[in-house]
Amino acid sequence: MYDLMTICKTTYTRVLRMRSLYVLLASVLVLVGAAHLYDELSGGREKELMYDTGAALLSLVGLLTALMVAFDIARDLREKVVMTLLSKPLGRSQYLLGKFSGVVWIGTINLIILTLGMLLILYWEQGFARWDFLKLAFSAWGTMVLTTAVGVLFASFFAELPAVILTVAVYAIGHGTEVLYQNNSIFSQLLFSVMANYGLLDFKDALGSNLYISWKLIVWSVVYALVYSSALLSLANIIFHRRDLA
Amino acid sequence: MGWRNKLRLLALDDLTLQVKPGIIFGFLGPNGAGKSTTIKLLLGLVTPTKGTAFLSGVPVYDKRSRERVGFLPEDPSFCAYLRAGEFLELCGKVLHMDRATRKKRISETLEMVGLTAKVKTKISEFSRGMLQRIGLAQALLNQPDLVVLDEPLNGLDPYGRKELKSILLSQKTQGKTVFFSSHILSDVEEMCDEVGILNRGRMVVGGRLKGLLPTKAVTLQVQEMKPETMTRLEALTSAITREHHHWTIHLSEPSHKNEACALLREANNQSIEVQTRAESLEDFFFRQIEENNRHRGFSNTSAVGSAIESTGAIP
Amino acid sequence: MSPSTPKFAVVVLILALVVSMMLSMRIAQRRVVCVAHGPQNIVRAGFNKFLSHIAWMRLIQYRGSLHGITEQEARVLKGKYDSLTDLDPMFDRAYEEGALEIGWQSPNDSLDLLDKAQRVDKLKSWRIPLLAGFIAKNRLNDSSRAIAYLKKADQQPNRPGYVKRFLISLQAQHDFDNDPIKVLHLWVDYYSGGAGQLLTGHGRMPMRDMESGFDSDPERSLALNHIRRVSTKIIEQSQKGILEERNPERKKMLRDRIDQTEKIIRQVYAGRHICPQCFRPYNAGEEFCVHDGKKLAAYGTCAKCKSVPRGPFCQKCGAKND
Repeated sequence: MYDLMTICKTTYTRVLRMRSLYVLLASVLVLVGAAHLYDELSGGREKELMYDTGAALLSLVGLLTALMVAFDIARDLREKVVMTLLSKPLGRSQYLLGKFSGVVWIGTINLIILTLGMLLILYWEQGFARWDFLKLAFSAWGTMVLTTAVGVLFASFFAELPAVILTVAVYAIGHGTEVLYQNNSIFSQLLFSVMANYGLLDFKDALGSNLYISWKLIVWSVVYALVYSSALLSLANIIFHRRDLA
Repeated sequence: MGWRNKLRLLALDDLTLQVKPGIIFGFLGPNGAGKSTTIKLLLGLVTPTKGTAFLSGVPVYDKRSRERVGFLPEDPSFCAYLRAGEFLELCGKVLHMDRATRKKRISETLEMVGLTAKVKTKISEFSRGMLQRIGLAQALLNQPDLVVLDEPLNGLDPYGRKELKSILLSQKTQGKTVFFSSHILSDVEEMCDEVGILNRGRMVVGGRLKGLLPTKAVTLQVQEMKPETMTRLEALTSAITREHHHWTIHLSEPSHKNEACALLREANNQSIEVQTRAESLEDFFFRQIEENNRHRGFSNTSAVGSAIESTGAIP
Repeated sequence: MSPSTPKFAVVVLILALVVSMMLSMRIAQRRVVCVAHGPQNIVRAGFNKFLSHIAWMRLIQYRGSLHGITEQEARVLKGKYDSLTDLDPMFDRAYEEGALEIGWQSPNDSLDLLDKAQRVDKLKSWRIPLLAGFIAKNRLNDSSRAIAYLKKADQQPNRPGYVKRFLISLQAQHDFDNDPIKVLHLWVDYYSGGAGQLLTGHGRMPMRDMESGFDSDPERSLALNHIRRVSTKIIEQSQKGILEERNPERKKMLRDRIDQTEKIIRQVYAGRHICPQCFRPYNAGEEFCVHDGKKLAAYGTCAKCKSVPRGPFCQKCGAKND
């Protein structure tokens, strides 16, 4: 646990020192701050636009933060930094989980900042609190954790660029797996249950259209994300343990 | 990964190696011989397809085997986003050093490698030589019992090499074991107690350095030399020279030593100083490799194909 | 398994995979209930709704550039609205505005767009099927289709009263020739607040404004107008038919029709005095109908001087009012 926390804190420091993180946050704040322009652009849909923009930004920030783990691990492997660390009494599991935890930690902070910012803006512009935005934030957090686990898996045996591309591909495909569920064949159902179903965590459309989604469903979706992430991390662990760091 | 299996080469073939504690062991071999692979195997970075390896009696796949090991890789690359002090702090934590010890050792090792002034400098700004030094610092941070170095002298200027050699020798005097691979045979000859020569994955020869290198030339020194003695020695010598207070007799063959000593004692009952010069390690190395290649049916061209080492593909 | 493969990870992998498979099926089942499902959506990695706003803004710009809408532009607009609603199936305004914009040039495309909206299970809008019914009737003259749409509109919550009235009007136009009594019943049920309410005597609400003869609820008042018109038309047509018809069975049917109509009218105006010709109520003391001049059976007058007393004694002749 101590080793895991050490790697976690180091990863947190690493991501914090990435300039791309600040560019991302600055861009997001600009978009959020431009909320007062929405009524001119949106043709009478400024409230919906504001809400949906906030929801999209949550997803985007979560995705981009999670992709940093794919870069980080793959780069460590390419530059052989990992050799120095793993030549010490540091387990490969602790290394991977430490990287995962560090990125999840910083992703969580990013999402909290964005959520608070959006709640304030929504309250200011619309005159009432949109507490259902918290449901979006929580499901976005689950999505971010799942994407980070996917990134860890691919980074454990691919270089930086393929790892990132594959992570994004899984993210995109994962949002469309509901079509498999709607197909009644056993093969489709099995494939659906095995794949990373990001669609199960996506409530942006529903909440943006003022449909009621219970906290229970949101929590279960996030539990699914955490359980599936455990499976991915275990698989990454197995692959990484068998990988020769030549 | 079938296609990768076809590309696999046998990096190490039935390698058996034992290193005694408290010595400096030099691990030699041409490019692609398997030296780095051996080192990575010992540190658990590569998994052997067969066989076992132990460090201080602990199997290498157990991370506890690395608790008292320090490692400096070839062409080291460390966490570029960290400062030197932060990086050593990270290494110290991973080595489970307590805070006070960590702090003390960080300043000691930085001083030892001459990087005290660079404690707050980011590693990304380090030169090649500085990287080597910080690498040595992290390898020696917890005063390990075994220090493993992969080509540690590469890229160092003469001052750097001198400093590194003195550090390694000091480790030996403290009773630590040093295991390193190198191409710079003169330095190996200077420092090592034992060597092992690896060629195409197999150990060619290994043992105490003094015992391995054959005697190449013998010189005798005496105080007095009679002319008739000089005449009698002509057949056995290549040169007889007079220095300040003594005569130096260069024997043409090391096997003539006893006969020459007998002649000199017969002529003058005086003390004879015998100096032997062994074959250089470089000559010995080339001879061993060439013989091994011939024996195994390989050509003696330099490093053809040996650049491809086992890539450690996922089985 | 080599010593380097962590056994714990294998166990966690299998367990977590099994649990996640079960969870995914359960959650997907629950989601179907809560989340809008429409026709096959374009999947944009979860950014559908945001992209729908971009598409909407671009559509506004395009609409602003048009000066009138030709048939070709109507087709282009249909394509754009289709793409927009694929991204956000719950965007009800897009369906309505799109349908209205292209309804004149391309009513079939317009109805196609509105049908798409009605396939979105969570989009419970009365305006969309109402608009579809309006376009079907007025642009395509397809009463059956219009009635089907209006029935859907009538089933939606919070629909205004005129939706039902529009539906009944259409049904009346469509069915009058076949079954005029059924049409009369439709209006009576609408007036009384439910099918069969009037006949059972439960649904009838008293008329508020007895002087004017109009109900203060405009919908009920309009319904009453329709009842009268339909009744008048039934009786006129039936009476004309009786005169022209030679078949005794048919004549009997027409007489029965008149009787049924009068019975229904009497039930609607139970307790009221109505003109036997136009079925409008009349007040105490009136001898002729103010709408059609028909002689009426006067009521509520003084037995002596025929004026309408305002109290227990007649204000004109002093006779006691019984």
